[in-house]
Amino acid sequence: VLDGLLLGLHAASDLRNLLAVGVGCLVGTVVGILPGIGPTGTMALLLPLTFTLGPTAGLIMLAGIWYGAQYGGSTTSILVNVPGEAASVVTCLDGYQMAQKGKAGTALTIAAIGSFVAGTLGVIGLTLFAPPLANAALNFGPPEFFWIGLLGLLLLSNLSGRSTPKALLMATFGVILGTIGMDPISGRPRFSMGFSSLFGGFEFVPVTMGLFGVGEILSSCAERVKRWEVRKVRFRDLYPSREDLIRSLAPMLRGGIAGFFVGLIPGPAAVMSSFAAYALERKISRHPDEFGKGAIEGVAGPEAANNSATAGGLVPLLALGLPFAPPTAVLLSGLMIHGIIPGPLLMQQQPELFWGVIASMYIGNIILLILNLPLVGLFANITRVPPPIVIPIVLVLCGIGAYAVNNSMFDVWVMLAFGFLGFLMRRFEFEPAPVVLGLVLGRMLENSFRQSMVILEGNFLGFWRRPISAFLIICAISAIALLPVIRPLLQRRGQKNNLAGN
Amino acid sequence: LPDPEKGLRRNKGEIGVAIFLLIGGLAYLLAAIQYPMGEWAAPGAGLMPRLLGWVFIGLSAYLLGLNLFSISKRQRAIEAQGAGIPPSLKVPLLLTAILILYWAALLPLGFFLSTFFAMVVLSRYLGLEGWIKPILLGFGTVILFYLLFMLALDVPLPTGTIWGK
Repeated sequence: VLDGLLLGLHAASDLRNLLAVGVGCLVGTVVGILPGIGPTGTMALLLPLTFTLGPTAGLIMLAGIWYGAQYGGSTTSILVNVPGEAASVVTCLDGYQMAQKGKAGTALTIAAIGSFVAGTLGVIGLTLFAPPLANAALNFGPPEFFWIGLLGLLLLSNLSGRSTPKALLMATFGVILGTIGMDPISGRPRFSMGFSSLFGGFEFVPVTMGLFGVGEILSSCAERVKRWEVRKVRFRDLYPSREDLIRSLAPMLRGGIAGFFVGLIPGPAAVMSSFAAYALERKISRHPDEFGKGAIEGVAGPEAANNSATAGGLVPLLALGLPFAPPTAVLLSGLMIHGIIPGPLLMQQQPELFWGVIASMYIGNIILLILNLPLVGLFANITRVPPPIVIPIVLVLCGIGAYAVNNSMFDVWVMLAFGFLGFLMRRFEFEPAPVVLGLVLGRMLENSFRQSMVILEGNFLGFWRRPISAFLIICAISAIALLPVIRPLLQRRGQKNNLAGN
Repeated sequence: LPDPEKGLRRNKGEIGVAIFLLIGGLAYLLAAIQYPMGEWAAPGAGLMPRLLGWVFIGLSAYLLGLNLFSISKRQRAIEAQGAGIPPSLKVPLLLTAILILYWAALLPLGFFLSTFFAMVVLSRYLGLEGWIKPILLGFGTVILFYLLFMLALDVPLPTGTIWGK
């Protein structure tokens, strides 16, 4: 691990890669602050840039956007009571109350320090967990990969949105989209409807940019975005008191550890981890009555958790090649457009990339701390840019991003179609995340299922005779049987937290 | 107070969506039948699509049943949450129409001219006042994107077919 980390630090300290991590963190912070466009859409938008940057720098930049957005998301939650990111919703509860009491600077500082501490903890976890998991996964065959993929989709569907049937439908829809294009075994085109552009299947970038970029913008336009009054934060207000720091330290550590492990689970890990950390802090607090009225633990814990969850989310991607969240699906796509097949062999075949990305996250966390502390006032002003200026620029950028993948207008139309679909999905409370993951995991699921059936000679009992496969089947059955019971409990807990906040 | 009528209308919308999904699932399944299923020991191109088609139809039917037979329960739940009818379709539809025109004009007019007009129209429609600001925004965006994409990143943006070579 140490040798790998040294190699990674050497790779990450290359000028191009340093620039990539800096740009990624900066863009991520801005995207996190701006409500309306999330990190997934932005990462998909900038995916074509990786052609110019190369795989290592490209992936470093895209990862920087993801974890940078978690840092930036808290700024508008605290100053305007509008979460820049879904994972920062819970920060509104106490962060905004602190701002109302004239402690906006303290809340912002604690959020940034918490993000830094937990982000670093998460990267340490990633450094320690990913290599052994990748080594263990070398023993996996198609049956194991089939069940891991299926388990991931089932868990995601159970944890996304408010309705499990709707999320399962969307995951199935994503897998169905994945069947469009060339059959991977016979080479025969399927469901291409006469479009030669569909022989290769739907491109991931236009679909993701449509669902997460254009769809999000159309939804926010339907609600008529208003301009917010942003509180001014003076530099001297950023220093937290000794008592605030002492009270925040343990929640940061707890949130960091809990967030990392929640991040390993498929689904909206950053959001789930922040709610879980908030519930945990409230439960063990000596003064639970302060929660919802400006408790500093209610800012430190969730902000720490959502940052370390991003590092946790990278473990299955780097070790197994499986994306369990939409941003990691974009990262996977970023690798595949360079012909790199992620999976257990990534660490051996592309050690510079594998360790370079991990090491860059240590550097990225330091850059983000520098960006988010002294420059917080400057970043907060981004919310003053009126939507009639931001929205057209983002829409044009989406068009360029989709066009640049294959220099084809077909992808632009696909993006627009999925954009409108994304808007309709939000309108009827269907989550877009399972569609994207279904599309990415679907091709892998079909391949590994068909390969498994050939290996097992069509005998389904063969799945049970392989210990890891049998264990994963039990997990999948448990996910179907137990999560519908756990889900209402989680939702009730979330509602209680919201009520406390209100 | 939450409007019960809104809850009912919303439920009708959900039923409509579930029927649409059900029809979509059936169409997909019918299309999947034309591909060979193979055997379990050697699955063909049609096996997975068939399985997916059945799963999709099953889930859509479940969603339809859920909305058909639990109107009052769902309505109560919506009222309890205070959720109303989602905002109007007018703005997103018009925005989509502008985008269709913009991207249809991209190849014949070229990136720069079509983007300039699109920026002016979009920013005006979304509420940027006057003409000077939208025009400046259009110019600024076109110049910025030219420098970034064509010069720095070598992205070959369309230059327009009506202008000849």
